[in-house]
Amino acid sequence: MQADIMYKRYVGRKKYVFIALLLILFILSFVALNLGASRATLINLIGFFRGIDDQDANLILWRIRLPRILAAIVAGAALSISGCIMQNNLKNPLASPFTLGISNAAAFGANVAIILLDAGSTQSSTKDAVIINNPYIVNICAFVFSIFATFIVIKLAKLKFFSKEAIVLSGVALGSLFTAATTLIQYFAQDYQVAAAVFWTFGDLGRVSYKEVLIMATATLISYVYFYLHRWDYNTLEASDDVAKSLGVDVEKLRLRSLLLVSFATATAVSFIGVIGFIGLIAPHIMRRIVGSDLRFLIPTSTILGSVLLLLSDTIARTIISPIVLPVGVITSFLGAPLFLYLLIKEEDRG
Amino acid sequence: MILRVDSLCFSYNSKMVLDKVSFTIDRGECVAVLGVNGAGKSTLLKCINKILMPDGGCVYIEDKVVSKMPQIEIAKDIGYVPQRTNVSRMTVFDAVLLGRKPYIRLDATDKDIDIVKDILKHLSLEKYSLKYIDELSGGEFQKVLIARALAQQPKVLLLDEPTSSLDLKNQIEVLDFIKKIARERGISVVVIIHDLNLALRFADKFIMMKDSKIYSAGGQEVITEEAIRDVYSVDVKVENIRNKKIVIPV
Ligand SMILES: Nc1ncnc2c1ncn2[C@@H]1O[C@H](COP(=O)(O)OP(=O)(O)OP(=O)(O)O)[C@@H](O)[C@H]1O
Ligand SMILES: [Mg+2]
Repeated sequence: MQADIMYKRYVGRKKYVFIALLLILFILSFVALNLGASRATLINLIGFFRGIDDQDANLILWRIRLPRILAAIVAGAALSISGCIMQNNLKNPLASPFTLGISNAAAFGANVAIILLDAGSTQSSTKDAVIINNPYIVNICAFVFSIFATFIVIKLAKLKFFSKEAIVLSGVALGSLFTAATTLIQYFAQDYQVAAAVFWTFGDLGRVSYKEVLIMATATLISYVYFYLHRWDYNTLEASDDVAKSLGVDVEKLRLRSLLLVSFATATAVSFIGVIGFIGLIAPHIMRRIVGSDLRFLIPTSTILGSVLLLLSDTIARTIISPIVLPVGVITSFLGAPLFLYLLIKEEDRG
Repeated sequence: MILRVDSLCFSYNSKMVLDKVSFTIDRGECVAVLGVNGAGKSTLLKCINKILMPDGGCVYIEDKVVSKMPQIEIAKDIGYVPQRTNVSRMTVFDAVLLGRKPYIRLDATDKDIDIVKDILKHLSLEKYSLKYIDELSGGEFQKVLIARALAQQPKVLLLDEPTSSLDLKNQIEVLDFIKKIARERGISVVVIIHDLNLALRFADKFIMMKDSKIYSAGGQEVITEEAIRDVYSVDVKVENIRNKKIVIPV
């Protein structure tokens, strides 16, 4: 058969992967909307559309579960697409949205807000022992410090013409600096403040309402559009920087802008929901095995897979020992670590 | 005259690697760059298409100053095959299609795909179209790199040891194919090559580099026993067998 016809079929097949993932996400969202500690199910949903008004159930569906599901979809997409771009740009399968030290910087920002600016406190009720009484200051501080960290990493990397090594090393160095600073201010803080700060660092999707989801979605969409428009440029980076340049790509500019947008999307998500590990590492990894390292397909599919994985983790976190809701970050790490090792061992087999 | 390199200078940190290198190439001409390891040959190619920014001097392509052109315009004029590169998990067809990148706006068109198809056919790579490049042999992969540079449909081709992993048959076939295209489409080819006899068979002109400078340049007459002793510190016999110049190490 002619090479071009075979190729077109092959490309066509990859599109089905994307459609299948979308379908899975859709079904999972409906399942998640149905599940939960209180009994509000799709029956209520159908009732709602027929005009039967069950106040409580509607409140749970529309005000609690739906924003949470949307937050999982948006944050999962943001983390996964960021991881995908980082792994491509740094040519490092271990790169993630947090390679630039964003998670550490955001945690430091939150600690500053909670401890130094006194934005957290304890409550006497047993369930939610810790509350953050001024979430906006915490969000803003976390965001500001994440972006600040990004600029420092970029300044440092610029000295070395955005070489991959320079970016990774300055990210790691800055990350550990922020961790040290966090430990230092926690050391001198009150117990209840430390508790609130630690609580913040566990990623949790229950904190957001529609407004925050909208902000996260905007940041993610802007980044996604840039990344997708530059999919061919990223593909040339897969070969080498030299080849990319010889094919007309301004490598330094591309890296700089990619880093900025990755940070923007990640920092926005992290400052609203805290640190959620592994999604940004593992979703692009899984997709690379299925669709190859071609960014034309890797960008859309790993975005959706990130949403699927985070939504799945959050649904497990809400239901596994219901009515207690576990922090979703714990579930992603519990699921992610073994999965990651499994992929690693399979990789060894192949090589 | 299509490519003119005028007293090009380049140094890594403070180590001088190119010292006032100048030469010109005509349309359809194939030029071999010769010299010992570390002489600065690869650096020269990278300075020509602005992968590295030269410290001094100038490169002209049809009277355009390369250093003032945007990278994407350079990519339409100059194709490049690197001495080494990564292999990623990408099919042969996709890898060659990347050569169309300078022309692609949103997505590859049918024309791009046709161009790739033709090149794959000419380099007998068709049967590997959907194979991943990290599953190819060294020589097959090298042919993919050459195919990618040809897919750029450039006016100048820069090839950095493009045949180092090819078997005898492929060396001859691939170089003959490049030469044929060069003649037909008026493409100028600069090729770094270590096999002197292969160079003699393929090239119209020769540039011998020594210690960051051009030692000598010209037609077959510059390949002499004395020049090779000076450049490579090796004693050879240069003989004519059936009207072909042959270099034989002694
Ligand atoms: N990135 C780099 N940084 C510093 N020095 C370099 C770099 N690349 C090459 N060099 C040095 O520049 C000199 C010329 O290198 P170049 O790669 O141009 O040699 P070459 O003629 O292509 O050799 P070979 O035949 O081995 O490929 C060498 O001495 C090399 O050590
Ligand atoms: Mg070289």
